Amino acid sequence: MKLTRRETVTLLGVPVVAAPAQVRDQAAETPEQLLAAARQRLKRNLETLGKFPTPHDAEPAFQFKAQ
Amino acid sequence: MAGFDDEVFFATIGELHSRLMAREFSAVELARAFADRLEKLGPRYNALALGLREPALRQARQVDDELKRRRLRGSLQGIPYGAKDLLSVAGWPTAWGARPYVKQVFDYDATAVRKLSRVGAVLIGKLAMVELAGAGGYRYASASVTGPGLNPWDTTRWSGGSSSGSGAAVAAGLVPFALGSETWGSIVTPAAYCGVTGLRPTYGLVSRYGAMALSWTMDKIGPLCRSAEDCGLVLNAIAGGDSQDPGSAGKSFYYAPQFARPLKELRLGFAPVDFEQWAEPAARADFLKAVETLRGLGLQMKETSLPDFPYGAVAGLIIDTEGSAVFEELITSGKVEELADAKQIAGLKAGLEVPAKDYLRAMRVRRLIQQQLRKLFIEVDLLVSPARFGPASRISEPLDRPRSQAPRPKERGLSDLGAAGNLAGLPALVLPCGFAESLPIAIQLVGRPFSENTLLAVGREFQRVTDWHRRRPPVSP
Repeated sequence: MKLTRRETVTLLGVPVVAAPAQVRDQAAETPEQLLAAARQRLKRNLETLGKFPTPHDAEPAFQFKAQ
Repeated sequence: MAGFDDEVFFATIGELHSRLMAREFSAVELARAFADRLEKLGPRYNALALGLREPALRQARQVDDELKRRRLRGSLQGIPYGAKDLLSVAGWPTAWGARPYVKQVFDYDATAVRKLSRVGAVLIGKLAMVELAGAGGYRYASASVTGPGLNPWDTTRWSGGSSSGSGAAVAAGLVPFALGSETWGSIVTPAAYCGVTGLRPTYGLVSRYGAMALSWTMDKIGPLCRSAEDCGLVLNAIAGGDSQDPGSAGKSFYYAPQFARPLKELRLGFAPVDFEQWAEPAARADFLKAVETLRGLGLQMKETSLPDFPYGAVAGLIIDTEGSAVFEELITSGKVEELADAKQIAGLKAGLEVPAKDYLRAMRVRRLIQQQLRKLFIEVDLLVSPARFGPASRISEPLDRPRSQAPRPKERGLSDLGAAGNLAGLPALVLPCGFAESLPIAIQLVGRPFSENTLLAVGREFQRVTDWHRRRPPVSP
Protein backbone atom coordinates (compact mmCIF):
# COMPACT_ATOMS: atom_id res chain seq x y z
CA MET A 1 0.00 0.00 0.00
CA LYS A 2 1.48 3.29 -1.03
CA LEU A 3 0.02 6.44 0.45
CA THR A 4 0.96 10.04 0.44
CA ARG A 5 1.23 11.70 3.79
CA ARG A 6 -2.00 13.59 3.11
CA GLU A 7 -3.80 10.33 2.24
CA THR A 8 -2.41 8.73 5.35
CA VAL A 9 -3.68 11.54 7.48
CA THR A 10 -7.12 11.30 5.91
CA LEU A 11 -7.16 7.57 6.38
CA LEU A 12 -6.03 7.51 9.98
CA GLY A 13 -7.36 10.80 11.19
CA VAL A 14 -3.97 11.45 12.75
CA PRO A 15 -3.17 15.13 12.82
CA VAL A 16 -0.07 16.04 10.94
CA VAL A 17 2.19 17.95 13.24
CA ALA A 18 1.89 21.52 12.15
CA ALA A 19 5.24 22.97 11.35
CA PRO A 20 5.52 26.30 13.08
CA ALA A 21 6.80 29.19 11.05
CA GLN A 22 10.35 28.22 10.29
CA VAL A 23 12.94 30.36 11.93
CA ARG A 24 14.90 31.45 8.91
CA ASP A 25 18.37 32.65 9.35
CA GLN A 26 18.04 35.49 11.79
CA ALA A 27 21.40 36.91 10.89
CA ALA A 28 19.71 37.77 7.57
CA GLU A 29 22.68 36.50 5.62
CA THR A 30 22.05 36.02 1.95
CA PRO A 31 22.34 32.55 0.39
CA GLU A 32 25.55 33.71 -1.29
CA GLN A 33 27.01 34.82 2.04
CA LEU A 34 26.05 31.53 3.64
CA LEU A 35 27.62 29.58 0.78
CA ALA A 36 30.78 31.62 1.09
CA ALA A 37 30.82 30.96 4.83
CA ALA A 38 30.34 27.21 4.25
CA ARG A 39 33.23 27.21 1.77
CA GLN A 40 35.34 29.11 4.26
CA ARG A 41 34.53 26.57 6.97
CA LEU A 42 35.59 23.72 4.69
CA LYS A 43 38.74 25.60 3.76
CA ARG A 44 39.59 26.03 7.44
CA ASN A 45 39.10 22.33 8.04
CA LEU A 46 41.32 21.52 5.07
CA GLU A 47 44.02 23.87 6.32
CA THR A 48 43.88 22.25 9.75
CA LEU A 49 44.23 18.84 8.15
CA GLY A 50 46.98 20.10 5.86
CA LYS A 51 49.12 20.91 8.88
CA PHE A 52 48.78 17.37 10.14
CA PRO A 53 51.55 14.98 9.09
CA THR A 54 50.20 11.89 7.36
CA PRO A 55 52.66 8.99 7.01
CA HIS A 56 52.97 7.41 3.58
CA ASP A 57 51.52 4.12 4.81
CA ALA A 58 48.35 5.61 6.34
CA GLU A 59 45.54 4.12 4.27
CA PRO A 60 42.12 5.77 4.18
CA ALA A 61 39.84 4.45 6.92
CA PHE A 62 37.25 2.68 4.82
CA GLN A 63 37.00 -0.93 3.88
CA PHE A 64 35.98 -2.59 0.67
CA LYS A 65 35.17 -6.25 0.99
CA ALA A 66 35.53 -8.40 -2.13
CA GLN A 67 32.45 -10.60 -2.30
CA MET B 1 -6.65 6.10 28.68
CA ALA B 2 -8.66 4.51 31.53
CA GLY B 3 -6.53 2.25 33.68
CA PHE B 4 -3.27 3.61 32.38
CA ASP B 5 -1.29 6.10 34.38
CA ASP B 6 2.26 7.39 34.65
CA GLU B 7 3.33 4.14 36.31
CA VAL B 8 2.71 2.54 32.93
CA PHE B 9 3.80 5.36 30.66
CA PHE B 10 7.13 5.72 32.45
CA ALA B 11 7.70 2.02 33.08
CA THR B 12 10.76 0.19 31.82
CA ILE B 13 10.54 -2.57 29.26
CA GLY B 14 11.03 -5.17 31.99
CA GLU B 15 8.19 -3.71 34.07
CA LEU B 16 5.82 -3.57 31.11
CA HIS B 17 6.76 -7.10 30.11
CA SER B 18 5.98 -8.40 33.61
CA ARG B 19 2.59 -6.72 33.61
CA LEU B 20 1.78 -8.04 30.14
CA MET B 21 2.71 -11.54 31.24
CA ALA B 22 0.57 -11.14 34.36
CA ARG B 23 -2.34 -10.16 32.06
CA GLU B 24 -2.82 -6.86 33.88
CA PHE B 25 -3.52 -5.50 30.41
CA SER B 26 -3.37 -6.82 26.88
CA ALA B 27 -0.94 -5.81 24.16
CA VAL B 28 -3.83 -4.15 22.31
CA GLU B 29 -4.79 -2.10 25.36
CA LEU B 30 -1.18 -1.09 25.89
CA ALA B 31 -0.64 -0.16 22.23
CA ARG B 32 -3.88 1.84 22.19
CA ALA B 33 -2.96 3.71 25.37
CA PHE B 34 0.47 4.66 24.07
CA ALA B 35 -0.90 5.55 20.60
CA ASP B 36 -3.49 7.83 22.23
CA ARG B 37 -0.78 9.51 24.27
CA LEU B 38 1.69 9.81 21.39
CA GLU B 39 -0.93 11.34 19.07
CA LYS B 40 -2.20 13.70 21.76
CA LEU B 41 1.07 14.84 23.30
CA GLY B 42 3.56 14.22 20.47
CA PRO B 43 2.61 17.43 18.63
CA ARG B 44 3.20 19.41 21.84
CA TYR B 45 6.91 18.63 21.46
CA ASN B 46 6.95 18.43 17.64
CA ALA B 47 7.98 14.83 18.29
CA LEU B 48 5.57 12.96 16.04
CA ALA B 49 6.18 12.57 12.32
CA LEU B 50 3.52 9.96 11.61
CA GLY B 51 1.14 7.95 13.79
CA LEU B 52 0.84 4.26 12.93
CA ARG B 53 -2.17 3.35 15.07
CA GLU B 54 -3.93 0.91 12.75
CA PRO B 55 -0.93 -1.28 11.87
CA ALA B 56 0.14 -1.11 15.52
CA LEU B 57 -3.21 -2.40 16.75
CA ARG B 58 -3.14 -5.17 14.12
CA GLN B 59 0.26 -6.23 15.31
CA ALA B 60 -0.75 -5.99 18.97
CA ARG B 61 -3.72 -8.30 18.27
CA GLN B 62 -1.28 -10.85 16.88
CA VAL B 63 0.84 -10.51 20.00
CA ASP B 64 -2.18 -11.11 22.23
CA ASP B 65 -3.00 -14.18 20.18
CA GLU B 66 0.56 -15.44 20.56
CA LEU B 67 0.57 -14.78 24.30
CA LYS B 68 -2.66 -16.76 24.67
CA ARG B 69 -0.94 -19.66 22.92
CA ARG B 70 2.20 -19.16 25.04
CA ARG B 71 4.30 -18.41 21.96
CA LEU B 72 6.79 -16.24 23.81
CA ARG B 73 9.30 -14.10 21.97
CA GLY B 74 11.10 -12.35 24.81
CA SER B 75 10.94 -9.10 26.76
CA LEU B 76 10.00 -6.88 23.82
CA GLN B 77 6.90 -8.83 22.86
CA GLY B 78 3.95 -6.44 22.95
CA ILE B 79 6.06 -3.40 23.90
CA PRO B 80 5.16 -0.28 21.89
CA TYR B 81 7.95 1.83 20.44
CA GLY B 82 8.68 4.67 18.01
CA ALA B 83 11.23 4.85 15.21
CA LYS B 84 13.06 7.89 13.93
CA ASP B 85 11.54 8.92 10.60
CA LEU B 86 14.82 8.06 8.93
CA LEU B 87 13.93 4.35 9.02
CA SER B 88 11.71 2.93 6.32
CA VAL B 89 8.44 1.19 7.12
CA ALA B 90 6.88 -0.54 4.13
CA GLY B 91 3.97 1.35 2.62
CA TRP B 92 4.20 4.38 4.91
CA PRO B 93 5.77 7.78 4.30
CA THR B 94 9.39 8.20 5.37
CA ALA B 95 10.16 11.89 5.14
CA TRP B 96 13.66 12.02 6.66
CA GLY B 97 12.46 15.19 8.41
CA ALA B 98 12.68 17.11 5.15
CA ARG B 99 10.07 18.80 2.98
CA PRO B 100 11.41 17.43 -0.34
CA TYR B 101 10.77 13.88 0.90
CA VAL B 102 7.34 14.12 2.56
CA LYS B 103 5.74 11.90 -0.09
CA GLN B 104 8.51 9.33 -0.13
CA VAL B 105 7.30 5.76 0.46
CA PHE B 106 9.44 2.61 0.53
CA ASP B 107 8.12 -0.88 -0.04
CA TYR B 108 10.31 -2.54 2.57
CA ASP B 109 11.03 -2.29 6.27
CA ALA B 110 14.40 -1.20 7.61
CA THR B 111 16.24 -4.18 9.08
CA ALA B 112 16.08 -2.75 12.61
CA VAL B 113 12.30 -2.33 12.31
CA ARG B 114 11.93 -5.83 10.85
CA LYS B 115 13.98 -7.34 13.67
CA LEU B 116 11.89 -5.59 16.31
CA SER B 117 8.74 -6.78 14.60
CA ARG B 118 10.09 -10.33 14.69
CA VAL B 119 10.36 -10.25 18.49
CA GLY B 120 6.88 -8.76 18.81
CA ALA B 121 7.66 -5.09 19.52
CA VAL B 122 4.82 -2.87 18.30
CA LEU B 123 5.70 0.18 16.20
CA ILE B 124 3.20 2.93 17.04
CA GLY B 125 4.74 5.90 15.25
CA LYS B 126 7.51 7.50 13.26
CA LEU B 127 9.32 10.17 15.27
CA ALA B 128 10.45 13.59 14.15
CA MET B 129 14.03 14.42 13.30
CA VAL B 130 16.26 17.20 12.03
CA GLU B 131 16.00 17.33 8.25
CA LEU B 132 18.35 14.85 6.58
CA ALA B 133 19.81 14.18 10.05
CA GLY B 134 21.63 17.48 9.77
CA ALA B 135 23.54 16.86 6.55
CA GLY B 136 25.29 20.07 5.60
CA GLY B 137 25.25 21.48 9.13
CA TYR B 138 22.25 23.43 10.47
CA ARG B 139 22.14 26.60 12.48
CA TYR B 140 18.73 26.43 14.16
CA ALA B 141 16.68 23.81 16.00
CA SER B 142 13.89 24.62 13.52
CA ALA B 143 15.73 22.69 10.78
CA SER B 144 12.93 20.14 10.38
CA VAL B 145 9.70 19.83 8.44
CA THR B 146 7.96 19.20 11.77
CA GLY B 147 9.42 22.28 13.43
CA PRO B 148 11.95 22.49 16.25
CA GLY B 149 12.06 19.54 18.63
CA LEU B 150 10.79 20.85 21.96
CA ASN B 151 12.16 19.52 25.22
CA PRO B 152 9.57 17.97 27.58
CA TRP B 153 11.46 19.43 30.55
CA ASP B 154 11.06 22.95 29.18
CA THR B 155 9.47 23.62 25.83
CA THR B 156 11.53 26.76 25.31
CA ARG B 157 14.52 24.43 25.02
CA TRP B 158 15.58 22.07 22.25
CA SER B 159 15.14 18.32 22.53
CA GLY B 160 18.45 17.85 20.72
CA GLY B 161 19.23 16.51 17.32
CA SER B 162 19.04 14.90 15.07
CA SER B 163 16.96 12.21 16.82
CA SER B 164 14.82 14.99 18.34
CA GLY B 165 11.49 13.16 18.43
CA SER B 166 13.07 9.97 19.76
CA GLY B 167 14.56 11.80 22.76
CA ALA B 168 11.43 13.83 23.52
CA ALA B 169 9.00 10.92 23.10
CA VAL B 170 10.88 8.66 25.51
CA ALA B 171 11.34 11.49 28.02
CA ALA B 172 7.65 12.42 27.98
CA GLY B 173 6.46 8.83 28.33
CA LEU B 174 4.95 8.75 24.83
CA VAL B 175 6.80 5.53 23.96
CA PRO B 176 8.68 3.08 26.21
CA PHE B 177 11.66 3.20 23.85
CA ALA B 178 12.64 4.59 20.48
CA LEU B 179 15.13 4.01 17.71
CA GLY B 180 17.43 6.85 16.72
CA SER B 181 20.57 7.20 14.67
CA GLU B 182 23.92 8.87 15.11
CA THR B 183 26.54 10.08 12.69
CA TRP B 184 28.02 12.66 15.07
CA GLY B 185 26.00 13.31 18.23
CA SER B 186 22.48 12.48 17.07
CA ILE B 187 21.75 9.90 19.79
CA VAL B 188 24.05 11.30 22.47
CA THR B 189 22.68 14.87 22.29
CA PRO B 190 18.91 14.18 22.48
CA ALA B 191 19.47 11.51 25.15
CA ALA B 192 21.50 13.97 27.25
CA TYR B 193 19.18 16.93 26.70
CA CYS B 194 16.01 14.95 27.39
CA GLY B 195 17.33 12.95 30.36
CA VAL B 196 16.99 9.49 28.86
CA THR B 197 19.46 6.65 28.44
CA GLY B 198 20.88 6.33 24.94
CA LEU B 199 23.16 3.80 23.32
CA ARG B 200 25.25 4.50 20.25
CA PRO B 201 26.39 1.05 19.14
CA THR B 202 29.73 0.25 17.55
CA TYR B 203 29.78 1.09 13.83
CA GLY B 204 28.57 -1.95 11.91
CA LEU B 205 26.89 -3.74 14.83
CA VAL B 206 23.35 -2.70 13.85
CA SER B 207 22.28 -2.88 10.22
CA ARG B 208 21.51 0.41 8.50
CA TYR B 209 19.57 -1.22 5.70
CA GLY B 210 16.44 0.86 5.14
CA ALA B 211 17.89 3.87 6.95
CA MET B 212 18.62 7.19 5.26
CA ALA B 213 22.32 7.50 4.55
CA LEU B 214 24.12 10.62 5.69
CA SER B 215 27.67 9.31 5.97
CA TRP B 216 28.24 5.75 4.80
CA THR B 217 31.31 5.37 6.98
CA MET B 218 29.87 6.92 10.16
CA ASP B 219 26.11 6.22 10.40
CA LYS B 220 24.86 4.06 13.30
CA ILE B 221 21.38 3.03 14.51
CA GLY B 222 20.71 2.74 18.24
CA PRO B 223 18.09 2.90 21.00
CA LEU B 224 16.94 5.63 23.37
CA CYS B 225 15.34 4.11 26.47
CA ARG B 226 14.51 4.54 30.15
CA SER B 227 17.54 2.60 31.39
CA ALA B 228 20.77 0.90 30.43
CA GLU B 229 19.01 -2.42 30.94
CA ASP B 230 16.39 -1.46 28.34
CA CYS B 231 19.10 -0.37 25.90
CA GLY B 232 20.64 -3.83 26.25
CA LEU B 233 17.32 -5.54 25.56
CA VAL B 234 16.68 -3.46 22.45
CA LEU B 235 20.23 -3.84 21.16
CA ASN B 236 19.91 -7.59 21.67
CA ALA B 237 17.00 -7.52 19.20
CA ILE B 238 18.37 -5.18 16.54
CA ALA B 239 22.09 -6.08 16.42
CA GLY B 240 23.64 -8.62 14.10
CA GLY B 241 25.15 -9.09 10.69
CA ASP B 242 23.21 -8.12 7.58
CA SER B 243 24.39 -8.78 4.03
CA GLN B 244 22.18 -5.90 2.89
CA ASP B 245 24.32 -3.39 4.78
CA PRO B 246 27.80 -3.09 3.25
CA GLY B 247 29.06 -1.58 6.52
CA SER B 248 27.81 -4.49 8.63
CA ALA B 249 30.50 -5.96 10.87
CA GLY B 250 28.84 -9.36 10.64
CA LYS B 251 28.92 -9.65 14.43
CA SER B 252 26.15 -10.80 16.69
CA PHE B 253 25.37 -9.40 20.11
CA TYR B 254 23.85 -11.10 23.13
CA TYR B 255 22.96 -8.90 26.04
CA ALA B 256 24.75 -10.50 28.96
CA PRO B 257 26.05 -7.84 31.36
CA GLN B 258 26.36 -10.48 34.07
CA PHE B 259 29.32 -11.92 32.18
CA ALA B 260 31.14 -8.60 31.82
CA ARG B 261 34.33 -8.19 33.83
CA PRO B 262 33.81 -7.19 37.47
CA LEU B 263 33.71 -3.42 37.85
CA LYS B 264 36.68 -3.48 40.21
CA GLU B 265 38.84 -4.77 37.36
CA LEU B 266 37.85 -1.98 34.98
CA ARG B 267 40.05 1.07 34.46
CA LEU B 268 37.98 4.17 33.75
CA GLY B 269 39.76 7.01 31.98
CA PHE B 270 38.64 10.54 32.74
CA ALA B 271 39.98 14.08 32.48
CA PRO B 272 39.25 16.40 35.42
CA VAL B 273 39.37 19.41 33.06
CA ASP B 274 36.23 18.12 31.29
CA PHE B 275 34.19 18.35 34.48
CA GLU B 276 35.89 21.34 36.07
CA GLN B 277 36.43 23.67 33.11
CA TRP B 278 34.83 22.44 29.88
CA ALA B 279 31.52 21.79 31.65
CA GLU B 280 29.25 24.79 32.10
CA PRO B 281 29.38 26.12 35.68
CA ALA B 282 25.80 25.12 36.51
CA ALA B 283 26.50 21.51 35.53
CA ARG B 284 29.85 20.95 37.24
CA ALA B 285 28.62 19.86 40.68
CA ASP B 286 26.42 17.05 39.38
CA PHE B 287 29.02 15.94 36.85
CA LEU B 288 31.61 15.65 39.60
CA LYS B 289 29.16 13.71 41.77
CA ALA B 290 28.66 11.30 38.87
CA VAL B 291 32.41 10.70 38.68
CA GLU B 292 32.47 10.04 42.42
CA THR B 293 29.56 7.63 42.04
CA LEU B 294 31.53 5.69 39.42
CA ARG B 295 34.55 5.67 41.70
CA GLY B 296 32.32 4.40 44.51
CA LEU B 297 31.28 1.45 42.33
CA GLY B 298 34.87 0.27 42.49
CA LEU B 299 36.07 1.34 39.06
CA GLN B 300 39.77 2.23 38.92
CA MET B 301 39.87 5.90 37.96
CA LYS B 302 42.75 6.92 35.74
CA GLU B 303 43.42 10.41 34.45
CA THR B 304 43.87 10.53 30.71
CA SER B 305 43.34 12.69 27.65
CA LEU B 306 42.81 12.23 23.95
CA PRO B 307 45.77 12.08 21.60
CA ASP B 308 46.35 15.31 19.68
CA PHE B 309 44.30 15.23 16.47
CA PRO B 310 41.99 17.71 14.70
CA TYR B 311 38.93 15.55 15.44
CA GLY B 312 36.31 18.14 14.58
CA ALA B 313 37.90 19.08 11.27
CA VAL B 314 38.22 15.42 10.23
CA ALA B 315 34.66 14.50 11.20
CA GLY B 316 33.25 17.66 9.64
CA LEU B 317 35.03 17.12 6.35
CA ILE B 318 34.03 13.47 6.07
CA ILE B 319 30.38 14.09 6.89
CA ASP B 320 30.18 17.16 4.63
CA THR B 321 31.70 15.28 1.70
CA GLU B 322 29.78 12.03 2.09
CA GLY B 323 26.53 13.83 2.93
CA SER B 324 26.73 16.04 -0.15
CA ALA B 325 27.51 13.02 -2.32
CA VAL B 326 24.50 11.19 -0.88
CA PHE B 327 22.24 14.15 -1.67
CA GLU B 328 23.87 15.23 -4.92
CA GLU B 329 20.65 14.87 -6.88
CA LEU B 330 18.70 16.90 -4.33
CA ILE B 331 21.34 19.63 -4.52
CA THR B 332 21.79 19.78 -8.30
CA SER B 333 18.03 19.60 -8.96
CA GLY B 334 17.48 22.71 -6.87
CA LYS B 335 15.04 20.94 -4.54
CA VAL B 336 17.55 21.48 -1.76
CA GLU B 337 16.11 25.01 -1.52
CA GLU B 338 12.99 23.47 0.07
CA LEU B 339 14.94 22.64 3.22
CA ALA B 340 14.14 24.75 6.28
CA ASP B 341 17.63 25.77 7.33
CA ALA B 342 19.52 28.17 5.08
CA LYS B 343 22.90 27.25 6.53
CA GLN B 344 22.25 23.60 5.84
CA ILE B 345 21.42 24.36 2.21
CA ALA B 346 24.70 26.21 1.83
CA GLY B 347 26.65 23.47 3.59
CA LEU B 348 25.28 20.78 1.29
CA LYS B 349 26.20 22.81 -1.78
CA ALA B 350 29.72 23.50 -0.54
CA GLY B 351 30.28 19.85 0.33
CA LEU B 352 29.99 18.91 -3.34
CA GLU B 353 33.10 20.95 -4.05
CA VAL B 354 35.52 19.04 -1.81
CA PRO B 355 38.30 17.54 -3.93
CA ALA B 356 38.78 13.77 -3.67
CA LYS B 357 42.33 14.18 -2.36
CA ASP B 358 41.08 16.21 0.60
CA TYR B 359 38.41 13.69 1.48
CA LEU B 360 41.01 10.93 1.26
CA ARG B 361 43.35 12.92 3.44
CA ALA B 362 40.65 13.17 6.10
CA MET B 363 40.10 9.43 5.86
CA ARG B 364 43.82 8.81 6.24
CA VAL B 365 44.01 10.96 9.35
CA ARG B 366 40.96 9.07 10.57
CA ARG B 367 42.98 5.86 10.31
CA LEU B 368 45.68 7.40 12.51
CA ILE B 369 43.03 8.46 15.00
CA GLN B 370 41.70 4.92 15.11
CA GLN B 371 45.20 3.52 15.72
CA GLN B 372 45.96 5.98 18.51
CA LEU B 373 42.63 5.38 20.23
CA ARG B 374 43.35 1.66 20.12
CA LYS B 375 46.54 2.40 22.05
CA LEU B 376 44.62 4.54 24.53
CA PHE B 377 42.35 1.58 25.19
CA ILE B 378 45.35 -0.51 26.23
CA GLU B 379 45.72 1.81 29.21
CA VAL B 380 42.02 2.10 30.06
CA ASP B 381 38.92 -0.01 29.49
CA LEU B 382 36.41 2.82 29.34
CA LEU B 383 36.31 6.58 29.09
CA VAL B 384 33.85 8.89 30.81
CA SER B 385 33.09 12.51 30.00
CA PRO B 386 30.12 14.86 29.97
CA ALA B 387 27.79 13.81 27.13
CA ARG B 388 27.22 17.53 26.54
CA PHE B 389 28.89 20.22 28.60
CA GLY B 390 25.64 21.85 29.59
CA PRO B 391 21.87 21.46 29.42
CA ALA B 392 19.67 21.85 26.35
CA SER B 393 20.07 25.04 24.35
CA ARG B 394 17.26 27.51 23.81
CA ILE B 395 15.13 26.99 20.72
CA SER B 396 15.99 30.38 19.26
CA GLU B 397 19.70 30.06 19.99
CA PRO B 398 22.03 29.56 17.00
CA LEU B 399 23.61 26.13 17.43
CA ASP B 400 26.86 27.02 15.71
CA ARG B 401 27.96 29.73 18.11
CA PRO B 402 29.69 29.30 21.48
CA ARG B 403 27.25 29.39 24.39
CA SER B 404 29.73 30.95 26.72
CA GLN B 405 32.06 33.91 26.40
CA ALA B 406 34.53 32.20 28.75
CA PRO B 407 37.89 31.34 27.17
CA ARG B 408 38.35 27.75 26.05
CA PRO B 409 40.29 25.65 28.55
CA LYS B 410 43.91 25.12 27.55
CA GLU B 411 43.86 21.39 28.17
CA ARG B 412 41.98 19.22 25.66
CA GLY B 413 41.05 16.47 28.12
CA LEU B 414 38.40 14.27 26.52
CA SER B 415 36.46 17.26 25.22
CA ASP B 416 36.53 15.95 21.65
CA LEU B 417 35.32 12.49 22.62
CA GLY B 418 32.14 12.93 20.55
CA ALA B 419 34.00 13.44 17.29
CA ALA B 420 36.76 10.99 18.21
CA GLY B 421 34.36 8.23 19.23
CA ASN B 422 32.29 8.57 16.09
CA LEU B 423 35.35 8.67 13.83
CA ALA B 424 36.64 5.46 15.38
CA GLY B 425 33.19 3.83 15.42
CA LEU B 426 33.26 3.38 19.21
CA PRO B 427 30.15 2.61 21.26
CA ALA B 428 28.82 5.17 23.76
CA LEU B 429 26.28 4.91 26.55
CA VAL B 430 24.58 8.09 27.76
CA LEU B 431 23.49 8.10 31.41
CA PRO B 432 21.47 10.94 32.97
CA CYS B 433 23.42 12.20 35.99
CA GLY B 434 21.75 15.33 37.33
CA PHE B 435 20.32 18.73 36.48
CA ALA B 436 21.51 22.19 35.55
CA GLU B 437 19.10 25.11 35.14
CA SER B 438 16.34 22.56 35.98
CA LEU B 439 17.24 20.59 32.84
CA PRO B 440 18.82 17.15 32.62
CA ILE B 441 22.52 16.61 32.07
CA ALA B 442 24.29 13.33 31.37
CA ILE B 443 27.64 11.60 31.22
CA GLN B 444 28.77 9.32 28.41
CA LEU B 445 30.75 6.12 28.75
CA VAL B 446 32.78 5.19 25.68
CA GLY B 447 34.46 1.83 25.17
CA ARG B 448 36.39 -0.28 22.71
CA PRO B 449 34.59 -1.49 19.59
CA PHE B 450 31.99 -4.14 20.46
CA SER B 451 32.31 -3.56 24.23
CA GLU B 452 28.60 -2.81 24.63
CA ASN B 453 28.11 -5.39 27.38
CA THR B 454 30.82 -3.73 29.47
CA LEU B 455 29.29 -0.28 28.99
CA LEU B 456 25.85 -1.61 29.83
CA ALA B 457 27.12 -3.44 32.92
CA VAL B 458 28.64 -0.20 34.26
CA GLY B 459 25.53 1.73 33.24
CA ARG B 460 23.29 -0.72 35.01
CA GLU B 461 25.29 -0.43 38.22
CA PHE B 462 25.33 3.38 37.97
CA GLN B 463 21.56 3.35 37.63
CA ARG B 464 21.20 0.89 40.52
CA VAL B 465 22.66 3.50 42.88
CA THR B 466 21.19 6.64 41.27
CA ASP B 467 17.69 7.61 40.20
CA TRP B 468 18.33 10.32 37.59
CA HIS B 469 17.04 8.03 34.85
CA ARG B 470 13.78 7.68 36.78
CA ARG B 471 13.06 11.42 36.95
CA ARG B 472 10.07 12.54 34.90
CA PRO B 473 9.39 15.88 33.24
CA PRO B 474 6.17 17.71 34.16
CA VAL B 475 3.90 16.29 31.44
CA SER B 476 0.26 17.20 31.92
CA PRO B 477 -2.16 15.08 29.89
